[in-house]
Amino acid sequence: MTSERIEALKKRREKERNQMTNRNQNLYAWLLLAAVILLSTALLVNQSPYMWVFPIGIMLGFTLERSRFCFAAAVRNPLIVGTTKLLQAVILALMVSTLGFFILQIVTVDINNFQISEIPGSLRPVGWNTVIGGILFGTGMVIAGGCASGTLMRIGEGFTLQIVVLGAFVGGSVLSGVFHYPFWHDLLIEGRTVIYLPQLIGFFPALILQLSVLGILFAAARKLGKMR
Amino acid sequence: MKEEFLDCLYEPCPIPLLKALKKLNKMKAGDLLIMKTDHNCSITNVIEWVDKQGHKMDYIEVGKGEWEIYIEKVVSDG
Repeated sequence: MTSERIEALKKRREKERNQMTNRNQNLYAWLLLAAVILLSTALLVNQSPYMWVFPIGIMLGFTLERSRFCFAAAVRNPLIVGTTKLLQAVILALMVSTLGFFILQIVTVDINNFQISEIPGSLRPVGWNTVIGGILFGTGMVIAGGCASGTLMRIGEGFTLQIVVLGAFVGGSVLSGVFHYPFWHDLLIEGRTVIYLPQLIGFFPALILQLSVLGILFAAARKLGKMR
Repeated sequence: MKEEFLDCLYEPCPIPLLKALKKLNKMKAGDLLIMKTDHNCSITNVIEWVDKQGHKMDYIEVGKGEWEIYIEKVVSDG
């Protein structure tokens, strides 16, 4: 909610801003757009596997920036100040993707005869490693001020601090992905069974179960947001 | 009717929000707070929190990737 005095203040600052130099960046925007179109066309011509991934990624990044969506804030804000709008948005996004993956999987997976590795999506064994990894990632995310998508989006927007984060991000991924991952994989993942709900209870009950759990979380987040 | 200014440039979330929270606690009802930030996520955070507290607020983009958030404190002991 705004007020008269804020409107007056806005007008005053707007005037002061016009006296400051505000460089026009449209040229860079057009150049970047041209580069994106050129690269998309090149990928399309070469029938590259990235021909869909790249444009979709660009559009997702645009949406992320315009909507000011932030996974880090979504899970952090409820704990520090009790605001939950972003958390509700994340839960809603999970519900939408649940539905999407349900459709994708029900048309591709033959429930009586399938291989875990062939299912669309990323199915991995859960365990304490998931919880510990989540806590580690979450702590780093809050300190660094953004998760992967948030960091990339804010660099694009010109938030310079996050370039440092990106450096650490790439370094850490290479270090753990290339050198440490085989060790952890053998220790924690290899040979463990993957829990795939549709296999245990069927496709539709699994969908209903997952949507209800998310629905309950959504209602809880909404309630928390209205408190205090 | 004081006017306070908070420079939050280059500060990632949740620092701008926490700074605003501290500053607003020290301000009196009717005081205005101007916050400058270049972290777009802060806007969502600050705006939602300020709205929940019942203060008045709005924001504009003052430069490319730089925003100013204006808050008018309404309740005296938030």
